[in-house]
Amino acid sequence: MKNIGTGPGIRKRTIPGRYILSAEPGLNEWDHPWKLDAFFLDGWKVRIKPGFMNGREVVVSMIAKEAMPDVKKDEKVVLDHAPKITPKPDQRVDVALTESLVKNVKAYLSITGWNDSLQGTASVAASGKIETSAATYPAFFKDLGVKKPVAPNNPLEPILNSFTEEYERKKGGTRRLMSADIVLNADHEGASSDVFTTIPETGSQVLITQTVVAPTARYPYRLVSIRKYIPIPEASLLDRLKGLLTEPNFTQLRMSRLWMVSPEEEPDETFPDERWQPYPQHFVFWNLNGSNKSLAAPGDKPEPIRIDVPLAGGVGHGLANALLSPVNDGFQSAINSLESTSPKLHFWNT
Amino acid sequence: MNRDSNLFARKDTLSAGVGIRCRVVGNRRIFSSSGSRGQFFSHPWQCSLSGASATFETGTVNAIEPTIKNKDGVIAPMSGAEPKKKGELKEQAVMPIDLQNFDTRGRSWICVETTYGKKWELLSCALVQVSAITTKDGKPPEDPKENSLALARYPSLPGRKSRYPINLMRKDEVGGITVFEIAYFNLQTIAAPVGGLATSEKARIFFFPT
Repeated sequence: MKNIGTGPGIRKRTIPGRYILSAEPGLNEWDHPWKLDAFFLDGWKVRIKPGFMNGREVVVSMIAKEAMPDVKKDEKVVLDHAPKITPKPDQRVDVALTESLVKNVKAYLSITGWNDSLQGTASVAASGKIETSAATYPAFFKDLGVKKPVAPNNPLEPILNSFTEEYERKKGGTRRLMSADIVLNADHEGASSDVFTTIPETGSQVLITQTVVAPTARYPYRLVSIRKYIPIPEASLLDRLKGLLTEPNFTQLRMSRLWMVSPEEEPDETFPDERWQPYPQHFVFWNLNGSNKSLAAPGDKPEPIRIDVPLAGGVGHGLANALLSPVNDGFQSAINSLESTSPKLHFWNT
Repeated sequence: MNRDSNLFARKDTLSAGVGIRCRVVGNRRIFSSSGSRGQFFSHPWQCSLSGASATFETGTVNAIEPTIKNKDGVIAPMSGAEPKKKGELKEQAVMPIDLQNFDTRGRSWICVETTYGKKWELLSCALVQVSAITTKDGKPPEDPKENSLALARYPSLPGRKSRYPINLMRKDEVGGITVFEIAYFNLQTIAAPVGGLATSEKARIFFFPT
């Protein structure tokens, strides 16, 4: 059995008594848009298979000397999104994902922060309350020997209990787990509304003044690396009616998460280096389109107020609905007005 | 990796599992991944480049098949014109790629160009090659930044038209062309004319996969 050769796509592993031949991952996988390929080069980076947003390229922000490492000192280089300038070495530049085809240009994303996936998180809800959540991770990592997550509120427990808990956690494994999220930032107009309520003698009146916040002047579609994606609280109709919430001039969509598994017995203070093993998890597999809610879905339309109880032998029925129609019109106008204050993008695939 | 594709080789017992091909050369056995597990994803709009021409898997917009103008200027449905004689096979429409129609950064888009009628209903569609999606003539604007910053809500173009990109062609450093696919499914289009009036000559155009 020593003369077993391996062709392309086959990995041979020898263990006492037998050989295990496995198909290399990758050959039979679908190379979908947004697919991550992690590598270590002075820190963890990801190459991303180009995806498109509204048919447009998506950019990553890089330091010029990393995006164009082979450029000579006085060589003029142009980039898709900075065509008229040659950037300085330490300047940040936008590089389109497809631009890695261009001579002397590289396009990848540096992972800038890590979330300890064994620790719980705290976030601020739309109501203003602080919410804590225990750490969880896919069961897949438990099989790899990752420690159990830390129980919530652990830092407040006595040290003795911590030792006990650490012992219990290690029974699950001794590897650490960290992660970083890759999100798509889509810039657009922001909005805020001011509401004035007056009660003149003839009845109440609501005035809604909308303010549109201009989008940033930069290229609108970019991938960024963040520690952990936390959805931005969405403004409810009541929030908009109160005029309390200003909606941001960008929308975020979580695209993928890069999990990192440490070697065994890794101390708690370290960050992922080349000894750690990357495991990408994808959430989006198609190119994207996006638009704000100018095109409301049919289900979002409120039902008009009607009186369906026969009145006056049916004569009053039509009369009552006719009287209600201005109310319905006003109601609809108010809903339309409030909805139009939300510039948030809604995404769909291509 | 699919667990089924693993192959366990024990002493004197070797067999090829799913995705594994065994070849015997003399006293050697070579195992390869067959690479033909049916995972090749063939989809509408899929582009095959051959030299300076392209063919596509047939796609539709609102169930209408786009047309392609070939190098002789003959317009035919993208799946090919009906044969003139009975018994002959359809010949797939071939689109010539204009190697000059790339922007200064080496980019060119294949778009489906849609034309709308009096009530903004879809009348016809055609595949076109452009170096800018949102300009009337499909040529890049004077200021390249304008092309970059145009938020692609697919605004209507003069003449009640719009363009939706189905793939991006990009020239590499040696002039070779790489195709990036954008659309994977047949499409539905809806026009939302400004002010909700069909008489309006401007509209927001939406494309959805079917």
